[in-house]
Amino acid sequence: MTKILLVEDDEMNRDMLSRRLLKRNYEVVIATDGEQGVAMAGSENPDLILMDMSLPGIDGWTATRQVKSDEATRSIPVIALTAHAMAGDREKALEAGCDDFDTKPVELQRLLGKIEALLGNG
Amino acid sequence: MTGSPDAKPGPEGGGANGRRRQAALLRLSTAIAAAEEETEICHAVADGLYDEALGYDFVAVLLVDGATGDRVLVASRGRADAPEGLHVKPGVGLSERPLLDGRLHYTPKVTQDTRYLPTRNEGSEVDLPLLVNRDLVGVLVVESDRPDAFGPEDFEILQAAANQTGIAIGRARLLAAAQRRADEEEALRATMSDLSAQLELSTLLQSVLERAVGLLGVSHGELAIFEPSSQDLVVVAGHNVGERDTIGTRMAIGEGAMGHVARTHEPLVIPNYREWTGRSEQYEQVEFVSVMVAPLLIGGRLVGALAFMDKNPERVFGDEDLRLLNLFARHAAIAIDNARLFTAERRRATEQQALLDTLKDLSGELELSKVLHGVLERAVTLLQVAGGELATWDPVRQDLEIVASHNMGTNAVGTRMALGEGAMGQVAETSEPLVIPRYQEWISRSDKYTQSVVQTVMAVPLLIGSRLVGVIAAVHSEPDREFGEEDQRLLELFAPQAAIAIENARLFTESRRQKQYFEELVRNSPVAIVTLDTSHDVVSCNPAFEKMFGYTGDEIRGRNLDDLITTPETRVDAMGYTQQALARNPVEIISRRRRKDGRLLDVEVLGVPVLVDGKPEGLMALYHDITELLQAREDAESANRAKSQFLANMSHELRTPLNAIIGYSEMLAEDLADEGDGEHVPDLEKIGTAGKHLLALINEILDLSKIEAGKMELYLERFDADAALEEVMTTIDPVASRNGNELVLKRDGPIGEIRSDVVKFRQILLNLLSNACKFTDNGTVTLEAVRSTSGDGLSDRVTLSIRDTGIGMNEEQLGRLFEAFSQADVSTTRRFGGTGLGLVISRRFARMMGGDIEVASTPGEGSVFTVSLPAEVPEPGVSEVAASGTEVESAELELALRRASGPGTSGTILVIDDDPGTHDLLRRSLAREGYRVEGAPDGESGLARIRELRPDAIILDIRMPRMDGWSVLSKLRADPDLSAIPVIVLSMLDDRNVGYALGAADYLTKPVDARQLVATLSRFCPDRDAPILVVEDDPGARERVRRVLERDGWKVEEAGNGSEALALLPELQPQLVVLDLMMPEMDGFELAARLRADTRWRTLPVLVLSALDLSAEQRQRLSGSVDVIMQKGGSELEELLPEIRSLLDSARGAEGEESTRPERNHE
Repeated sequence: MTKILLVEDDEMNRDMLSRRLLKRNYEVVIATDGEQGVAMAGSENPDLILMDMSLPGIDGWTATRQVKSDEATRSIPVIALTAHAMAGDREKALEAGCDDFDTKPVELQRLLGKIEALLGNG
Repeated sequence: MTGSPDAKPGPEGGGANGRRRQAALLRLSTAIAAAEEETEICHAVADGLYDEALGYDFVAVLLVDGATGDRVLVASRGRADAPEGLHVKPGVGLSERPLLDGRLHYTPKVTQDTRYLPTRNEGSEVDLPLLVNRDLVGVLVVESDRPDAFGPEDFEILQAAANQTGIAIGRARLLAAAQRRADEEEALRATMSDLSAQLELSTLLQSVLERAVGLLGVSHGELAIFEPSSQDLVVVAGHNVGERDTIGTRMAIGEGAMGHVARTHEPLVIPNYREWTGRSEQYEQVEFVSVMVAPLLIGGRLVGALAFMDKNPERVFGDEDLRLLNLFARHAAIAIDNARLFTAERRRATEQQALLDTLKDLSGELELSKVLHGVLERAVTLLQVAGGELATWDPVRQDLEIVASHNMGTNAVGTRMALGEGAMGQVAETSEPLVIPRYQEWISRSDKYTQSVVQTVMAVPLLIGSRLVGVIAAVHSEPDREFGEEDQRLLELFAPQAAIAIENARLFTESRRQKQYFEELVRNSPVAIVTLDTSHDVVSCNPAFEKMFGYTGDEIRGRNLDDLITTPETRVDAMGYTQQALARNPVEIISRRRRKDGRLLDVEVLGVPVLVDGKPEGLMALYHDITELLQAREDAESANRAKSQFLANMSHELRTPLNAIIGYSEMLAEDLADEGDGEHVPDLEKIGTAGKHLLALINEILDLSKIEAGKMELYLERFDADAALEEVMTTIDPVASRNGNELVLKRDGPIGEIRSDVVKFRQILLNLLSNACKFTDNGTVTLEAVRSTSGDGLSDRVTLSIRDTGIGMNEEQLGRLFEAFSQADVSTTRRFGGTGLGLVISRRFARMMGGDIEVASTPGEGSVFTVSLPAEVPEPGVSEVAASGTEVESAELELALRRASGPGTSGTILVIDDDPGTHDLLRRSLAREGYRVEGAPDGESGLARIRELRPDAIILDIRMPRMDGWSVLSKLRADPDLSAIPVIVLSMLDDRNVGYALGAADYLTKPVDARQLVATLSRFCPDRDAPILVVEDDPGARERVRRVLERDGWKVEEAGNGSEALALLPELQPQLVVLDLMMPEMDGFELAARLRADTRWRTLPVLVLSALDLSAEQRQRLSGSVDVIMQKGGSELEELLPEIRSLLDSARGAEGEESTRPERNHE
């Protein structure tokens, strides 16, 4: 079963997305801030990370950079989730090492397509 | 009477003796006839009678001296004691007797007569009178040593001789008189012509008189001229007339001798004046007796009278005197008339000239009213008329205004006369003089003059060239006076002078009015204005200046402005600007100034040179207080930032609950569908749709606020436009079908690949298409795409037209269409939904990409939106936004570029950056170090500025609009003229490897550390401590070069020729030599050669600055030993500066290398 790490501080977003992924047979582990996300990327060894960018503590870009700078977690694909296509957010995300990005609110079908593409199942 | 027998010749005797006597008498007669001259005749008589055959012992001829009555011995023979020239007084001697009675006297024994002058004893004597026309002119004396020696035959012989002598003398005297007359006439003629040349009447008359007195041999003379005005004779010249001076004596016609001839026009001789009954009382006490008077006439016209008098009663004037008198009278009359004409003419001319001269004086008078009255009064005086009027021409109203009136009865000043109205109006119309003999009967006279006393009018135009200035009129009020040609001539002579005087005064008045006008403008201007003289001292300031800076005009007048109102930080700059403005370069800057009370002001300063006749008189500075403006702008900017921040925050806060609404409604709908409960699914979908709409609104508001804050960026990529269009059509299809619209995509051919921001490209099309679908029911929405490439390939654009068949818009709605938050109609928003921001955003996007959106619409028929975009959107980056960005930002950049720069003593730096903040920061920190900092906002203009300035170093940003820093850098390196200028890259990006590879001298990242930058620059800027040596023999030229170099911050040393330069080199260690070629002692050619031969100076750059027109051979000599040759006079001296910088840059670049020296010529 594909294991997805969802790094998201907002409880409702977390709840919605995790429930919808679970329904589609993904295993979902959850981190509520950047530090926890980086830690769980190492400990949970997920197949993919969905990373919110605006996080308390270290933000999503920093967290991603850390994930990508660690030999152990570098290969895990990261999809950045940004509130809106703020100018430069996409570039900043890609610059930080994200493999793809999507905007919130999530359009589930589009996100699932990106997840599957990164996992090589598309 | 008996002949004495022993008498030597013996008067008596006949026979042979008688024949000898006949022969002697014949010889005598022949001799007398042959003699022409009086004395000669006398000698002939004496010689002829003292003949042996006649036997007389003494013969003498004595002639009477008319003046003294003396008998003068003219010729004698027979006695030594009777020399010629001997005078015998009247009453003395026997020889007087014939003169007293005209008879022959015989004295047989002279000793018996008491009157005998004893010269010899005994003897006898005959004395005979010599008669010329019955005048007794002399005596013939014949003596014998014997008493009673003469007989009747002798008396007969002697009488005949005396008669013949008298006749001969008479004839001789006539001849002499004729000769004298001829001589006199000639002398008189010569005298008169001499005298006439003088033409000075009184002198001339006196001369005529003196001359005549001399020629006539009289004791007195007098000359009077006739004065027509008084009908008197006035004595104007006199000679020796009485005790008193008779000059000026007046005589009526008929009074005295002169008065008499004046009446009769005939000469008059008065033998005894004292007994003459007609004599004048004014001449009672005179000593003269004889008088001769002649009238002076010219063709019957009396000119004067001429009189000669003599005190000698014996001096009786005869025909000869009258003749001379008439001669003199004729000449004198002509001379007097000429001279009088001349004098009168000259007096008149003098008077007129004097008048014209005063008119010239009037030209110096600048008070218009004084000039006008002065002109008129002079005209009236000049023409001796009753009155006059002067009118000036009003070119605006095209009429005349009477401005001065003199003695016209009614004062018409202020009256206006139309063109053609009255005499002056006609003159104004024709520009020709006009004389109207009977004004009151003149048909064209003006109504304004019916009641006046004007009888005769003469008016002339006052013209300058052909331009009418006014009209002057002179009038006679007496019916019998008229204007003649001479009057018109005079007035026309007068008119140009008057016109000039009036025009001068009018110009002066006008210029004074204009001066006041401008002073008033300056005084009331809300802009603070101050004027300075060439030494930077305040000349004047206006109240706005006083108010702005708190100084009164009196406080600052004459003081240095920069000392007063600058701050310590801005003082040096301000002085530089003042200098610059005085050097005829207007200055427009923003800076900070200090009020008198110490408060600081942000001001915009405009400094302009004040040139009078092309020469700088000083400068005028205008200050605009922008403290509040800057504050307001800062406030506005910060408010805008706050707004953007607020919007960003709010959208985030709004989006979070929206996410929940959208997400949970979708989840619920999915769950319900999974569970087969479809009843609530449509409701949940409505919640989701409403949420998504709200989200779209929020996103658009955020987009717009980003655009307005200049934060929207372009992401250019290459993509397939046809695929993008098809995708858009697919996306919009559901929206179109919702209103029953047909959706059509029209293309003539494939659009192909384009380079653009695909997201914005799609957003624009989706917005326009969804609008079209929204406002159209059951119609057609067409998207037509065309790619058009111009023949030269310079223009390659994609045009996208979105046409609908919907409701359309009217003019007013179209006008507001692209304004934010103003949908065409408020009701539209309610009916069709939408934020009304979509179009605004779309157009902004299109413009960011170098395109635009235009719209055309007909209400009820539909609308066409046309998007035009470049197929290749130029390299954009961050700065593309800045370039096309908000007005606030570009204005800020402009301000930063205009801001104060340093004096340039350390060198000139060009900053190329699109960020106003960078310009501002660098300018502040580098100006403090003495650099002159210039700026350019992008690569393209940066390159242009580099060529123009030849800066010592360039600070270059990388990401810039139009041309980025990398392009600038590679273009610089490719240009041999510019490649030596060091470039310091200053960028946000840390691409130092690329930078060094492209030839950057150094690479710094933003934010810049000012100290680091200054340290870096000092490595690349020329060392201004080492001097430039100017080798030139002409001190003037040396001084000019020195001034130019020093102004640019160089130290300068001088040498007068090559050997001086060589001697100075080791001590000075110059970094460059500016070299003249033609110099004494050692010329430039030799010095250049010596420098190259010396290892110490081999690399010292040499710039030749010479007036010499170099031959090929001379160029050959110089090549390899000098670096640059500049032609003096062919170029401005200022052109030295970039050459020197470039030379020193190359020299630094070549340090340590063995460089070849390419010679460059700049002529």
